[in-house]
Amino acid sequence: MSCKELERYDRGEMDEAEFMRHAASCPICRQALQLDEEVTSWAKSLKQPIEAPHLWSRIEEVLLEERAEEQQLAQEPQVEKKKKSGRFSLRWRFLRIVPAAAALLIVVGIGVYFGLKSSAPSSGLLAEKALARVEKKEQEYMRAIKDLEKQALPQMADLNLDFVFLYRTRLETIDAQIEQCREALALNPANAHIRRYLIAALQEKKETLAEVLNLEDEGSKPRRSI
Amino acid sequence: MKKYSRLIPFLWICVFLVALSSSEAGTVFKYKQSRGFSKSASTAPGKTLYIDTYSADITITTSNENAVSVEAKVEVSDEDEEIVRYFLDETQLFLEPYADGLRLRVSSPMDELRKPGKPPKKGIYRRFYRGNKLIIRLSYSARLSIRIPARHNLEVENAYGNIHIGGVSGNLHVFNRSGEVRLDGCGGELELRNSYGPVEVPVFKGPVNINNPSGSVEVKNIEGDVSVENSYAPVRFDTIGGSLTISSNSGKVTGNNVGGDCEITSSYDEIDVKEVKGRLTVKGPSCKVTAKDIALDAHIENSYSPVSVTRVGGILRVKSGSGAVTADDIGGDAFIRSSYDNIVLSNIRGSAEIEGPSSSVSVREVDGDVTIASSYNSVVVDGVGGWLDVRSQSAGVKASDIKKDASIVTSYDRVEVFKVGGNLRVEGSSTSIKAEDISGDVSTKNSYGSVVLSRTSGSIEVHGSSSRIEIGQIRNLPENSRIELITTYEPVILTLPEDADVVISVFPGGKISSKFPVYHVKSQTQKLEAEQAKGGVAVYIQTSGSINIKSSK
Repeated sequence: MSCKELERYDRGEMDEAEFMRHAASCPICRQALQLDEEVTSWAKSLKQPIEAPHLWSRIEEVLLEERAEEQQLAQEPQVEKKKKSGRFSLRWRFLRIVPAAAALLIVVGIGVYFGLKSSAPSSGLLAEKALARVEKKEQEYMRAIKDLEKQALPQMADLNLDFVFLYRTRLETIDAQIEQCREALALNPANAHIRRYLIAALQEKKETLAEVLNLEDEGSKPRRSI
Repeated sequence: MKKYSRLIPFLWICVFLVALSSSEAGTVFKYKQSRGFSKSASTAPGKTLYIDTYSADITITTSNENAVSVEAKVEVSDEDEEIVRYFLDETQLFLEPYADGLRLRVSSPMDELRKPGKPPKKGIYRRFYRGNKLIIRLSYSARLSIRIPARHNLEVENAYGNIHIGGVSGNLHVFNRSGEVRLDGCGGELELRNSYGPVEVPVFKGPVNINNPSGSVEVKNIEGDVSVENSYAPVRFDTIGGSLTISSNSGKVTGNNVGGDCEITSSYDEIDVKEVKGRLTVKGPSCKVTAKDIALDAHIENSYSPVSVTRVGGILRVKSGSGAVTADDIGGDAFIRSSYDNIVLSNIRGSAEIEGPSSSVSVREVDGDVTIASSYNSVVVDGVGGWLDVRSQSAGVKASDIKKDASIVTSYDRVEVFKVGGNLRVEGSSTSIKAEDISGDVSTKNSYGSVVLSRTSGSIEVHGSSSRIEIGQIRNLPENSRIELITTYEPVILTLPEDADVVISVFPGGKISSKFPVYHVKSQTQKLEAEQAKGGVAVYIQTSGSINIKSSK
């Protein structure tokens, strides 16, 4: 199913404003415009790849589906293809998205080549995308820790000595671990194991500072709720 | 086709963004390659394999051959393909004779980078420099799969990797940092140092020594002594054949079934121990402590958190700062010290000694003697096989079923005593006293409260100040017994058996009503003369209030 106005617009015989006015009352052209918008918005979402944490997995899924379909088509016997030629006209209307899909395949392929390919679970090294995510997480923790420190450290001065000693020792221990991990990462930045331990230490520091903030100072009775 | 051409700019944007994101700081990992290694060397049971690695995941299992065989995979990534290639080319796996066995190590250009100071700015290392600035993007990871004879010693040194050892018996020394360590079905002697990662030893035949700061420890089914040191992470144990020593800091310690003595130190968390066949010693400042089924003695020190002990075969000693203490079914003596919270003891086969300032104290069924020192909160004692000694302050005391003597000192509250097999002595400033069923002598000293005694069987001495005195239902007045009731301002009501053989002296200040003849005395001398003039039980009553002496059938 097509529309003569759409064909004219595609041939450049109709300007955009005129086509939009037509599309307002034509379901075929409205559908075509919607498809354009979808592809456009997908592309826009790539502008902030880090902000979309599942983007690569979504792209990978699309890629794998597309690949699977391609492989299936390639493996089908020639006779089958001939049989399917009868349905060619039915497929024709979907061909309008083929260039976009092909281009996306290329895009995704590049991404996968540089990013996902090397992030197999068996690897002890982080792929660049995974590393970016981990580094972002570390930065989030550091920001949270900085904020918490501003509140918690002055409060620690008001705690009784037992608690001051307890939390100071604990924070010093965690800081030492963070420092050791950072030193190790300076020589091995993409090592997944060390990154995981750094994240764990940062998380522990954040939780410890939050715990200090949540403490009820009981004066001479340093009691921790169990 | 023009329609599609409108999409082309967006598609280029896609391509650009992907390419851009691939070339950010993370591009370091553009090239990643791995290389496999394989080595083997002959060995013999009883020899030692020394493993010296870094950033390696190590798996050690056993084989029937007298050989050490190693499969290794080294993985490297960098932005510079040449560096990756060079690194892998230069990486070597060595398995060579060393000391009393073999030494396994991975040698790579990473060794140079890990040395203190900057690597020489020459050769491949030039590529790490941006001007004079050293920027290392190279990343490294290794996996080693090692097979050794089942009876073999191990000395492993690693960091930032996980270690798994299965089925090896020998002297096992494992030193790791920031990784997980697990030993399955091993034996011999284990010395394990790790940090920040969990350590699990589910089965081990022999002594185990673990030090794992900031990492959790789980030990189970150990046929030998166990020593664990850690901090800020839990320790769990189960079925330890020998003795167990745990020294933790701010770590939760839980477990059961220790064949020998058990010594646990921790702080600010929970300690829960069950089934210790030897002695239990717990030191846990601010720890909640629970102990059950301790065959021998239990010694527990903590502060600010509750202690609960059930079934101890020997002596129990609890020293708590201000935590509630509950102890039940103690085979030996119980010594309890706490404050500001409840102390509850029951079923003590030996004696009980309790010190609980500002604690409420409840003691039930003690075979031996009971000593209680407390203040400001109630003391309740029921069922004491020996004597009872309560020294309290501003506390109400209720005691019942005391087989031997009972002595109670308190103030500003009530004392109630029921059924004492021996003598009863009560002292209480501003205290009212009620006592029933006292087999021995009764002696009380109080003020500003009534004294009510009934069903006594020995001498009665009541010294009160502004205290009403009421004595009745006397069951027995032995031949050499005596009754002395002294108070001020308040009445004295004494009910004697109608056949009582008594000589009554009174120092009256008020109205006297008596069913028995009385001597009015105004001095000690007169009192003694009256008592000597006629035999029988001497009764002396002195008050500025009224005196009422009744008889009962």
